Amino acid sequence: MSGLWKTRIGLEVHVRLASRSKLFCACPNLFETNPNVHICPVCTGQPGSLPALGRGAVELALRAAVLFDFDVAMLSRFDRKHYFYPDLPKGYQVTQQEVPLGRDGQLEIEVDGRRVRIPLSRIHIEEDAGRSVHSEEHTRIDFNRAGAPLVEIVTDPVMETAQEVGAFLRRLREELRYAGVSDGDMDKGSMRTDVNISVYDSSRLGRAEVDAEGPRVEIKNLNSIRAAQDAVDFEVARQIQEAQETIRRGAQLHSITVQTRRWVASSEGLPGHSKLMRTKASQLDYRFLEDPDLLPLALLATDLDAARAMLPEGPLAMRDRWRCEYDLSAHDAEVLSSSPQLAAYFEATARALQAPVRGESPPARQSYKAAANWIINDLASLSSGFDKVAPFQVAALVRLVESAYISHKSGRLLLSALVARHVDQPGHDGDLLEMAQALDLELVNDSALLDEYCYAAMARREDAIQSWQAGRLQAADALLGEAMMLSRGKAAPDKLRARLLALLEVHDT
Amino acid sequence: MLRRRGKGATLCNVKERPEVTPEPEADAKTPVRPSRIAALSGFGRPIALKFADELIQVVQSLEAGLPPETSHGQGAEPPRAARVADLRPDRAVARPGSIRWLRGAPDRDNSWFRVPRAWAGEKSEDGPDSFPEVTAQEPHGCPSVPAVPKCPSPVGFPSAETGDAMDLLEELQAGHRTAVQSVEAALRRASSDPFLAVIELHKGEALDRAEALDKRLSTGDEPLPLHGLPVAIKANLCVEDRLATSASASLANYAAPYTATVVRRLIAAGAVPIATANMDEFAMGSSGEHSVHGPTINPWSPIHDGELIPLAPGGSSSGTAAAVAADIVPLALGSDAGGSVRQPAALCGVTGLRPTQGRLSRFGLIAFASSFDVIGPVARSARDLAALFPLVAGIDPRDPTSTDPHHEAKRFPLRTHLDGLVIGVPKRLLDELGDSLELEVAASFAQSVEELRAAGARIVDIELRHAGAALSAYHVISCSEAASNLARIDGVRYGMRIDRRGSADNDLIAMIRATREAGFGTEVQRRILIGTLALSRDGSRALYGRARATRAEVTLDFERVFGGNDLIGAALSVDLIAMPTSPTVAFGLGARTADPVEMYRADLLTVPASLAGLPAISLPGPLAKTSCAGRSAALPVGFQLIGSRGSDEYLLRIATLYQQLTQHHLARPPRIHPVPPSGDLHGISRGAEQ
Ligand SMILES: [Zn+2]
Repeated sequence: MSGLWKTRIGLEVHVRLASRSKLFCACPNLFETNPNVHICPVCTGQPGSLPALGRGAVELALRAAVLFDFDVAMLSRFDRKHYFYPDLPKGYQVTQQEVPLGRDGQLEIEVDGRRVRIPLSRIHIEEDAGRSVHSEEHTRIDFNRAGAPLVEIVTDPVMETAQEVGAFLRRLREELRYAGVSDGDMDKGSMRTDVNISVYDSSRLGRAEVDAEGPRVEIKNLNSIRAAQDAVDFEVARQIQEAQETIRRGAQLHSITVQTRRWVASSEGLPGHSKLMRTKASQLDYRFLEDPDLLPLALLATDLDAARAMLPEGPLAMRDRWRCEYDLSAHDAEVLSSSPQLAAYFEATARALQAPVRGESPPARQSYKAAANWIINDLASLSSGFDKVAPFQVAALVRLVESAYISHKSGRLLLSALVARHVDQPGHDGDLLEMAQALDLELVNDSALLDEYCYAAMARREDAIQSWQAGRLQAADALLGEAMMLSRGKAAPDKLRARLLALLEVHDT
Repeated sequence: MLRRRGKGATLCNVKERPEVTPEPEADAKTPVRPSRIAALSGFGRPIALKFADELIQVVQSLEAGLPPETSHGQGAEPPRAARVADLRPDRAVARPGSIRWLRGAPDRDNSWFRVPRAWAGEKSEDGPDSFPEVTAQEPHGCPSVPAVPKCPSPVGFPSAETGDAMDLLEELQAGHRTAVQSVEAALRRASSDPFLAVIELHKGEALDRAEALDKRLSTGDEPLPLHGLPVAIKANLCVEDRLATSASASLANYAAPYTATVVRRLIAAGAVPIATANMDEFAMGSSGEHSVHGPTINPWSPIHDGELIPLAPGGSSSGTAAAVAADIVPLALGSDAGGSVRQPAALCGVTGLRPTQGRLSRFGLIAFASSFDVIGPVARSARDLAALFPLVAGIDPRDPTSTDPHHEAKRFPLRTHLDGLVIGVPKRLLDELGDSLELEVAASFAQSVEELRAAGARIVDIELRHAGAALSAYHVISCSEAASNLARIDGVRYGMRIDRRGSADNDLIAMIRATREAGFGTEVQRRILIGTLALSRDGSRALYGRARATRAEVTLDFERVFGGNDLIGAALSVDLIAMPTSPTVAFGLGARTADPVEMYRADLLTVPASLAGLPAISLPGPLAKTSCAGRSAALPVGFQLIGSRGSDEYLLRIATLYQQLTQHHLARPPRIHPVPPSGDLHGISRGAEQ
């Protein structure tokens, strides 16, 4: 007999805020330096030191709270959570246990084209601990990270698959990055997640009963989306196996033992697996105490307004707008919005296209697509192309190719030249027209000259004319190739073709 | 061991407690498991065994001392909250890092802070039940601390000053005496201190500072307001590069890496710290006996037949009060949580202020109970404190709980006389004390009240209904906060470390337990255990909640009395409240160490103001004629005046007016004889310290 196994997954995501200083002191919120450089009496927990809450971190936390539609508490509190560990300087971590900054938020994710709303139960501010690096003999501790500002975002246990977990984490990270709340780099530890997983037999337990039982297994400190997904897959299989073994032994099936596990990523041929840290019997007693050193945080309606005003356009709204305003394909919009920096680059290019230049007409929709193509296909493949080519130059390039001033192929040359020239002459303002002339990339658009090429080609290829007259229209291509060769590739192709066809008609009569 | 004193006696002596309804079973408390509480506290089995019975009794006692839970909740809304606009700006200051905050020298090549790998174990905050048990190894190696004079010699103790700090300042600022002379004299007195009031001299810096001040004066600059005034600093206040031991073995070798805000302000005003004052370990104690440096002796200790009968100076600011009473310094800083400035000031016959919570920055004050802790100055007169107070008070961005010095105090007029002043006396509270209030103290207090009445004050009877439960509430909350604050003293980053290197059980937990067992004295361990219990799932969280609720009630009681709130019917509004500071005069050294409950009762009358965060000052009243070892002796008695929030300046003004009328504050310990002020001042040389 096998049950109808269902899974409920909830996440606790720790996000490091991108504020300039730490949560309770003026030390820089920076880690990629030598260890123990950014430390002071406050963040190393020296006796007599006191925390002073920083505004930057609070503003970013608040921005995250309004970003995910949380009900923000106008008065929230800070609590101490006690445990002993060498990298925890005060013997407690300051967090918001009793009254968090926000409750009941939400985030919409897309899985297989279906939109799913994930309810978020709470968001709260807390401080990070130091970083421990273990070696054979010593554990080395870096307190640069101690006191760094975090928000913890907790979801309701509503997800069911590793795919949903992945989609949620990607959406969350994208929103946080766009709002400037965090860089969201999981490999730098800017985003870490714990996963709660409960597998249950839906033929035996109703949803309400599962809710009442609470989560069964927590897996700590997953530091990549991949690890989170692998951990879910592994743990679901492990829990089902445990339950089935219980049944096989003929014992009464109880719920999975409540426990905390640690994820060990695959390495040296060993597959990834979770490892038991502790079971319920030894669950911790953190002895929460409202921090008497910190006043409750009181917000005004204007603080919330300010936080909302600081919210830039999110990636979803941006993609929708691009698709209807610029006629971008879903794929192009997706690629261009993959990072806030790239999105801003494209947006600046689009604005440069809109700027009226020498009485030209406003850009056609395909101009935006062309710009998108240049950015995605060409600029992205040039090393540091985005640093060396400015958005207004991309717009100019689109115009030059569109007006057949240069060919598409020459456009590529021009881009490479811009990148190379940037190195020679930093600060060079890069008038593309001038450069195209200097590089002799200019196409021949003059009708009289084009007619010359056509006549010469026609004179050389009587055979082709006869074929054409006999109704083999593709014979024109041979003539076109001949004319293009005579122009040394510099004739504007569309115009050349138009002229040639016109002359053939005339020749015919 | 904590003994209950007869049936029904509890930590707080309320004769008629309201009927306590039986605790509902719904509380679902797990039974107290001392081993688990000890483990959570960072202690091992020996401590669990030592305190096992006591812990259960204390909880019963504290529960009985608190009124039943009426309404649920965390008490009244806190009076203040942080606004986003007022928060510390996000302005990271790039600066070179300093590994000196951390123990030991850094590697040359990199600045990692290193601990043995075994300490980190599995990266987990392992459950307390899975902590390996450590068997105690006696004795633990303890860092050496200054030697304690076994029998202080009272003979020949010199005193140079006759007046108070203001008298000395007058001389200094007029140039009749140089800062160097004043500081040298104080250092000389401190170095021959027979009472163990001071534990370390700041010789080098003190003389350097004094010289700089004299130089400043000689160039024609205006003298600083406290120019050249020697002061002593309690050992729980951080002074850069000076030992900040908090009188604990756990911090016996801990030199503070920075200076407390109030001390910085004091120095900026021209005062010169000359010594560190002794205290009860981590400010836990009411006798000055719980110090790793040894007990402080009350300068009023009588001498019979050439033999000193040592009395306790009170605590925890024992050295602070004794240093002023013994004329070592005219002014000293202490700290007050439940009465730690006021009670020793009363027992040593000096004037001590507990300012309004938040008026003085706590930055650099090694925390005992954060929500009660305040820095409090001690002097010979209230006018000295009045001169000092505005120089050190005020908002400190490093202490977000510090408050504006002005806006709260505006509504108090500066008085020039006591005529018409309304003083409330909580008669019922005092009656309920019964025998606990010594007759001599009651008589002295009655006389002080009479003096106030004679000076024109109107004395009215007031009621502080919840004051009886204040002591239990104070202990529950202060122990909880202490357990939390002292969690950082784990031997990892600074202070003492007992590390059995090479032994198989040298893991983090073993190191923490060994360090904390050896580093903390019995009283500190006791309070950490009580605090852990009050916050843990084992002890009822209800205990902590009820204590918070009681605190809110006590605060409301005071507000009613001060505000003339019609909640109690008649429109009663008193300017100040008067009551004795300590229910007893100074007691014999060691007389109460065996009975913590008796010791805690010393705070009976000081904790109500602490719970409400109100300013209170202890003033010397008429001396009490008591008998000491069969002989008659005159000992100091203090009474306190309590003001409403932010009325510190007003309070100090009234106290000054009282002292102008009565002069009780001029009384000196009998054997301290003034010597001519310009006498031999050359005994101090700039040699190596100590
Ligand atoms: Zn810092």
